[in-house]
Amino acid sequence: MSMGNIGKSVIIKGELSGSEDLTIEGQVEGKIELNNNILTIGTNAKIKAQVFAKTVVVLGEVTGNITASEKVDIRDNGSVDGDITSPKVAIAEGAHFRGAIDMNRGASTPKAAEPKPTPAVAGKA
Amino acid sequence: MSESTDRSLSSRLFGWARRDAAGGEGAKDAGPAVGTKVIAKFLAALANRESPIVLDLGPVVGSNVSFLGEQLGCRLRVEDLFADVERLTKAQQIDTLPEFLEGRFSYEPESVDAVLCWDVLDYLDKPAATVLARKVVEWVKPGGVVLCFFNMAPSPSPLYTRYVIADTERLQYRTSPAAQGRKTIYQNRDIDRLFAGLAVSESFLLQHKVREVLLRKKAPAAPKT
Repeated sequence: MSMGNIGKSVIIKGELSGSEDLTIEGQVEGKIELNNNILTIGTNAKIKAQVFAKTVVVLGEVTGNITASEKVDIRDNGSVDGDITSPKVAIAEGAHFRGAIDMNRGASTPKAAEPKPTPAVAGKA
Repeated sequence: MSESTDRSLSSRLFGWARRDAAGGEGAKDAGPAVGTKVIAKFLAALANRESPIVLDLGPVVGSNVSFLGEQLGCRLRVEDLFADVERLTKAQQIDTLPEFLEGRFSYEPESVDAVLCWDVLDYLDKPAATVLARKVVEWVKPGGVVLCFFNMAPSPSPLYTRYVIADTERLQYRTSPAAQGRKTIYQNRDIDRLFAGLAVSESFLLQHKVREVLLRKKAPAAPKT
């Protein structure tokens, strides 16, 4: 799968959306929407935006709310000031976080494994 | 006791597998696990609430976020008052803490199901503790709970403690340097006065001189049928 990259010197003000995984090392102000992909906020990144993605990995700085359909992962030295809505949230010991975390239990409960159908056995006539 | 055979009552009740102290995020740089009596009571108090709102006045602990999310399906709000205390202490503005606390939060009265104070009150002098306790009492819904730890012995050196929930019966105490040590040792009557409007529903004095306290706001009377 292709992966986009926004370099350290790039500054974006406005809405950023896409359909591939993306790593941001620059600055973004506004809104980031990658609903079916992985967004990585790199160590040099400074984000002031509302963030929507499948998975969000934070190594840099985010000010704004993050909504992820699968997981939010704030790594060591990552920083988030804002609310997180996601069924799974991981926060490393060295990370900074201040805000609300909404882990809807209904969304996070894994489905029970479906029983495998037993093959039909033809009966003797 | 091996992890696979551990079937204590609390793990059966809450379905929380006992974490191996040698593995998992909570074990990094942490002291040995310490027994707790209040965590199970705290969870039981919130068990029947749908998506309870829990306010954590301590620093974010990733494994606590996961634990509370899985146990309660709660909406957790992390405020980290210790960071504010540290910042004001280093700026030599700690005497402005009461005024700072008055304006620090924006929670509506009776909007929160539970508050995790941990031992933050130990680090506040009386005026600041009075402001914070009053606000906590205002925020808690009827029937809601407040968890506090009070250290009953002075600390030999200035340290903060992160309380990492290993399971419903154990905490790991993870310490880090602080700009100032604990300021106040509270007696039972001090706790009652501070949290006027709440009642102490559980209180445990543990061997290592920490008092674990669970306070509850009286639930509204059920309507007569």
